[in-house]
Amino acid sequence: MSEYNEEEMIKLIQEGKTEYYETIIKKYQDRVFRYAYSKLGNYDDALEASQDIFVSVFRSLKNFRGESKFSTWLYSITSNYCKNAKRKQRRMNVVSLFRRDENEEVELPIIDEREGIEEKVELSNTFEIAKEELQKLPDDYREILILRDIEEYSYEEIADILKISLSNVKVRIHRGRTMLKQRLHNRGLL
Amino acid sequence: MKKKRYTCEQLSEMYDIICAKSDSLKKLYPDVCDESVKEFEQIEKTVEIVKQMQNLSISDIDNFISSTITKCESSKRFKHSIINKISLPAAAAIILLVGALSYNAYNIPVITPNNSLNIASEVVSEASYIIKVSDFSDMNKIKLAVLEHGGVIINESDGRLTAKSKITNYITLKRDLTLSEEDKIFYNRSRNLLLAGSNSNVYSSDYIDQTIIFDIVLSE
Repeated sequence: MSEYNEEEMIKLIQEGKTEYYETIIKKYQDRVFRYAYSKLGNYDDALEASQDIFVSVFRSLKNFRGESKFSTWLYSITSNYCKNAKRKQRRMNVVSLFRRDENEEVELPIIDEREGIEEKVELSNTFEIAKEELQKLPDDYREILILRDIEEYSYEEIADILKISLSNVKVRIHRGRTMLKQRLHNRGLL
Repeated sequence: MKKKRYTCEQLSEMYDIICAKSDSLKKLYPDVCDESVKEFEQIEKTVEIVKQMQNLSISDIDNFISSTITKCESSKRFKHSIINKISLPAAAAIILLVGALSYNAYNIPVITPNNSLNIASEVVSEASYIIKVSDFSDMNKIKLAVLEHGGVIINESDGRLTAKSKITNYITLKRDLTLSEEDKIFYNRSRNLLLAGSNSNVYSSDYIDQTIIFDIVLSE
């Protein structure tokens, strides 16, 4: 499979040789997962989102015309999906903790999703704090730090993904880093 | 030489330049003052901490890949069975036809994009809206479906539930109560395609927004 570069593989998949899609998933699974995790804040939601995103990308691949890089296109889909998922997550968060059974109110069990996450992801204390503080940043700044400092996209690629100007990318990165720096400083990490 | 104080934004930009060149701050910017050096170090440390997240990964990768591929394959089979085996114009024609027939079956007027002809007007003139369900035993489930689709229950008698709602809600309710899961997907797709290709004038929104009274009965 590795005798083809990514562009060639995408063309082969579009021509029906879908077995190459596995290589694409392998290449991007962690990036998509990390992005979803940073946005959604828990392992299970991020895992489910990652799978849905790859299925959705597979279905839409016939519409990909190669006008931008595949990775940029993939991130646009990932970003949109996570925005919607986050919105749904917010709506879910206001669901009542009580269920009405006949005429009696029954308390629903509260599942702490943080339990067991350590088994799935190795988290250091610093990592945990950084994750929390990154989560607290406004969306625009969090997203850009994920793309730049975690996924190491170039300024141009980020501008393409987020559909903003290059100078806006730079400004947001600077502001995002400064905000996070201040937050980490307040938590005693700097 | 007078030492220069850089703003945080400048330092952040300098960080990227320095990373790209794998060089030190002092070497590239010899005029930097001590305060700026300290600020720079904090930015450097911040990015370093954020980069720890690069270690995040899916714990059971094999399972993730195989289940994702299975989902992709099943979506491909469905797509192949319906669309891919026929040419695009033929598929579009069939989808338009099926969509039109679906609406016809629901007693909804279908106006074709080209000639604006209301091909179901004769059905509409004597419209009676009935949803025939195969199982009428779980009345609560049916009532809940009506309410979930924005309907209001008017009357309930033996073997007949009368309700009212907007036509759009009636369509989705009828679809949910009578079609299989696969049919629902296909129905949605054909309806979306119809609407997408309609330039928004195929269906009269006035009509779709009308409130109607309909009955839910057991199919014979």
